[in-house]
Amino acid sequence: MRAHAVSPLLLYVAFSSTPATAAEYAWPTTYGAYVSAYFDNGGTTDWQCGGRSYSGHKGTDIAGEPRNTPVYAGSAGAVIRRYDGFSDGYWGNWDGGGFGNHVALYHSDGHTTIYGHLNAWSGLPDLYEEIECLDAIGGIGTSGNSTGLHLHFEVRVGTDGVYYYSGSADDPFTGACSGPVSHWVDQNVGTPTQTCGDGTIIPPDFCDGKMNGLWCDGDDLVDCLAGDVSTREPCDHGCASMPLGVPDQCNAGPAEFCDGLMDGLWCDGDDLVLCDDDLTASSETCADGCQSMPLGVPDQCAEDTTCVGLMNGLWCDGDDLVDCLNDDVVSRQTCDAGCTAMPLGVPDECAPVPGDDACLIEGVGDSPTAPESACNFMDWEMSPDGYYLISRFGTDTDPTTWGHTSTCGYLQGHYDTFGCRYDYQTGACVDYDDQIPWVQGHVDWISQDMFDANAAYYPGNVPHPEYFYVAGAQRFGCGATLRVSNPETGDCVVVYAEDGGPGQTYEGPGYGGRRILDASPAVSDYLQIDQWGWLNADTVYVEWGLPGDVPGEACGTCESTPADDASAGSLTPWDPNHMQFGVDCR
Amino acid sequence: MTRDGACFQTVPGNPSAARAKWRLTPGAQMISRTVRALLLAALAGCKPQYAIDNIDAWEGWQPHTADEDTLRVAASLPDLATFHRDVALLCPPFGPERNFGDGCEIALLSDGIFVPTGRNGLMAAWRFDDDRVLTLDAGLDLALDDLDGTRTVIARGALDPRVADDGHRAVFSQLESGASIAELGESAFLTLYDFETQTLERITDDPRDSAPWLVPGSSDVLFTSARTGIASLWLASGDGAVRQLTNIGLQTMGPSFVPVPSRELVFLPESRIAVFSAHYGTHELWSVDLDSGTTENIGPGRLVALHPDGGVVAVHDDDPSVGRQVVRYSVSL
Repeated sequence: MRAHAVSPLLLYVAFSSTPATAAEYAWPTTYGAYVSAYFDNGGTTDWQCGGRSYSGHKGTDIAGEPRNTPVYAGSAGAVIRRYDGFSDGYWGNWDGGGFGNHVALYHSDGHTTIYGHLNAWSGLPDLYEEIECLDAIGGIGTSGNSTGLHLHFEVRVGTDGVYYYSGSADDPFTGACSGPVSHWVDQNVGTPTQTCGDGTIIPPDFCDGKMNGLWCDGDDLVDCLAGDVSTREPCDHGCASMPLGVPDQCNAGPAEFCDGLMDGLWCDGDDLVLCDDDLTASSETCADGCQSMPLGVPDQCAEDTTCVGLMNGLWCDGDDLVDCLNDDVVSRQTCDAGCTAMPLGVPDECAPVPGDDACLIEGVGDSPTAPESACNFMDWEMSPDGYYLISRFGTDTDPTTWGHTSTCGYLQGHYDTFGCRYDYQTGACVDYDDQIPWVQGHVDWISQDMFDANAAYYPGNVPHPEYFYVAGAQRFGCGATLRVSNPETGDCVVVYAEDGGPGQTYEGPGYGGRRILDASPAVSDYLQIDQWGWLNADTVYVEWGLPGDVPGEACGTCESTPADDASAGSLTPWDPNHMQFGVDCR
Repeated sequence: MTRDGACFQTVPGNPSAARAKWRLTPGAQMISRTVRALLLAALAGCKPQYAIDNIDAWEGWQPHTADEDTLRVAASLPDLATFHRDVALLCPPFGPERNFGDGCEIALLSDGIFVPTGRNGLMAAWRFDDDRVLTLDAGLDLALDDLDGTRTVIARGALDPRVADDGHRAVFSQLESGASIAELGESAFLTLYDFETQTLERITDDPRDSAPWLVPGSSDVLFTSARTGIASLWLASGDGAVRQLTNIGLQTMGPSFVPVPSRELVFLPESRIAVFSAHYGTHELWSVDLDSGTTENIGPGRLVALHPDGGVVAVHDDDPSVGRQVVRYSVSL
């Protein structure tokens, strides 16, 4: 809530007498927005060492939301500058010092935050007004030196509390290529939350970033309208998620079994159901199945006659191993790998299980859509948590790895000091290797276009629209089979990584390598890019593929439990929630 | 100023109010109505007054004119950023990512079509009255470009330049540091360059001033400023005096707010009335009398230009249900 305005002098005195604390800011607009350009840490390097910035950019550009989307104060503070009334800007426009319509807040920790390019007449606060954290202070616009709707959020440290532009700008994100301090209360890896320093939290609205229509939220059916929850209705029998483009819906309740049946006992599969007045009065599961009887005779539970006439002991009954005693079944066990009949006098037994995990395989075959230049040999091993596969990349000296005569599959850089590379045959550590189980990125059309354009400048290079560039992602191994999923829809598709190498065919200098994914029509169609586009949900999750994954097809189900929510957005290669260490060579 | 019958009249020699009356009329009808209006005005004994002290200063004046067809072609250009006389500046959609790539490219009007020149990497381009173009490149160098390829840098750290219609001067914002990268918040000052004396002169000393325009026939500079906290139009005289023209006394935005220009503004012939397009999500044309401060909302439009036959012409395409229209507004002074 807004409080009264104060005089500049009182403002200065009040804030000057307050001990400086760590700067802590909440995400200054709605959750549906995304960072279009980060702070430039030099050489157009963003906080996570990517190139999502531009030269001299001293703020964080937040885009993706319509005009007049609310802009919130990142923290409590006082308005030391507010300019209003400028029109939409353009490249090079210097209205309001390039900020166009803007608000500057001075905070008790001696920092200033600037909110630039606001829309005119969008509810800017009064000069010297005191503002609380997450108070609305304007709406997103494109005034000043701006080429599209976005918010310029700038943090300035070491300010004098009087002049809005005193001190120096600082990157609010902490990362490998930025400062050690995050200015966000909750950086949440790379997607800060609306969390204030006093713990006030505005959680993401369920409908943030979702198209209008009906969506399942657990067992609730939610009607989303313009990013807000219009209605929420609990489903009696659960909610059914439907394919994209089809509204989700509540499950229909099960049909009443007894409806239309005479009163009495009836078989329903293996259940014996007592019907009364067309309703189920009681139900019992029969251990040995339910036996339907002639009309007029109540159905009944069947007796297991497997052991009748057999000697006492273990006998196969299909894939079941049955323990017989005096013609009765003592126990019945289903064998995972089938039941093996043994010679008479020798008890039958379950066949041995070839591995503890059905996902375990030794390699992934060549992608059917891989280009000729792609190599595709990796060894795989399940991580101890049973969720992620650990990949091992071949070297020309590692005989345990497929394709060892080439270095094409070797994962360069990013060495993980926590683990070692696993020798599949000996179970010993060969050497230390990078194991990146999970990364996050977004399909970056701008960079994609740039790569295509760059190709024209390098003799022999050609554009490659058949690949996506995934910004913000770490390097993948050449030919790596990967799963790319849209976290909003849950759609997931298998792709392979193609690699040109820095400065090579697909990449501009300084942009790293191996972030390029198959964009074949099969992949594009599956992700339904033409329907929901990348702009609304351009974050994709990229993780190693699993055994049996085929590029261009939907992700399979060969996985166990998902990682917990707290780590869902992790970019850290060695996040213990994704990779568990302490086990010998994993 | 006295009111005489049905028309407004200015006192000769007094650089004050020439009052504009606007009326949107369909193409051909507009001409006849304008002629008729002028005839009626003459018969009534009241004629347009040209409130300019130094009429000689209009010699060589090259206004930005366009007929309907030309404007229609210009508006259909993908990525059109500005259009001045026969020079169009085409900028790819940078989007909020602000990936400027090769910057903007000049296209020249020839036989009714705009032909890309390959001259790119630019932020701004304004046509002189000869074969020269005032250009601003991505490194913030302001230069005079001959179309034969000769390029003469006249200022560094420049932003948002405009050339005077007499071709003798240019005005722009200039970063105090003269840097080649514009970091938001850096102070910049309005600067004038005289091509005859080849000198730079600071127009005002307030970094809150921006978007300058030279007023034809005078040494005045019209500009936007947020000195009051609200963006308003201001006028700087050659003697250094400045005065606020619009939104006087306004502390916060309200219904009485008068918009400020975006990138498009023309001065009516031999007057001190500017017509500009204001972009606030949609595009509206406004007029302002620099002497009286009188303003008027004319109607929707962007890419405003003087029409060769009088009045102004603009593009109206804010209503997707209607599509793109070229509209003309008549004016009687």
